[in-house]
Amino acid sequence: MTGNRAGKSLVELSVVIGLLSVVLILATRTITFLMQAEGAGRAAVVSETNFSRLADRFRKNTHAATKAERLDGDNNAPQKLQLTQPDGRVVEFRPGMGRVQVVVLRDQKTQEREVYHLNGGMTRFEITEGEQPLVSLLYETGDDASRRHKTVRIDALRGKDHRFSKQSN
Amino acid sequence: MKHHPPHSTRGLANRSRVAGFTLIELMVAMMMLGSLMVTLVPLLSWVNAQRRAAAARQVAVHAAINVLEHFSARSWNDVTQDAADAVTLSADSAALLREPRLKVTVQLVEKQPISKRIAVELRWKNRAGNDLSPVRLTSFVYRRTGTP
Repeated sequence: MTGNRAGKSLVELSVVIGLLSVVLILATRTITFLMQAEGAGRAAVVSETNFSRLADRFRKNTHAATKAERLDGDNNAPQKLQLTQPDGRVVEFRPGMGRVQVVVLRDQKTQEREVYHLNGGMTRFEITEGEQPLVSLLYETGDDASRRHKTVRIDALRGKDHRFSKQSN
Repeated sequence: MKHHPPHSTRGLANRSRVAGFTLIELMVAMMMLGSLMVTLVPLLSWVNAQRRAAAARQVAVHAAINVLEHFSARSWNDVTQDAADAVTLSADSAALLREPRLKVTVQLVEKQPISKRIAVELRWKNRAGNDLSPVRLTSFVYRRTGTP
């Protein structure tokens, strides 16, 4: 009887240890997954906040601009957007992989520099000439082929702030 | 049995009770873990859905600002309800939202100085097919002084 019982508790113990290891593995995986999800979520929130700030700045500077010019670079140096402000300063948007640098230049000298970090993706600019020239910022994430490819477009009319100053009609 | 002192019988009984205890404990632990998992998994998907909704909202806000940007730049006489009805989302923005519905309304505000109220309302659906609270933006355009 006593021997029987002793054997049973050993089997039980091994079962408990086995189950416990399964539980531990599951718990570790869950925690890792949760941490990854949390990290990805935080990165997405930070990127979205930065993108909103960038979009606000782009709209503001484009509305104030008296001149908008796109400088197309080669593969090593991607394109830049130069917005000439009424006070003579030039705000230059320099896109990079996963970031956009905004440099304020006065007489070709850097006066201010700000970097907007984005969660991957590439930014490019389009200028559509018309009665009111349209400057667009296009932020593209994901591959062309993938389902997650998306383009967020920010449109701003160049010189919108000054549209009442010039006498037309 | 007669030779066993009473305390040893008690000891045996105790031991068997202790052995049974681990099994019950294990079951309780497993049940607790199970209930934890059951609550955790929907929570995870809920957080994910929340994140997707936030991303879609940001896209919708930018899309609505773009619409307002173009429409409010029209000249006073071109800001009409007919023109507002013809406004559509850009293809880029439309592709990122589920069943987007855009409504632009123009309203003349008689109060001096006379202005026109432009309201942009953008609705879309989430993955489950439910309508989310729409993005609403309003802007006022004023008549340029000196124009007829």
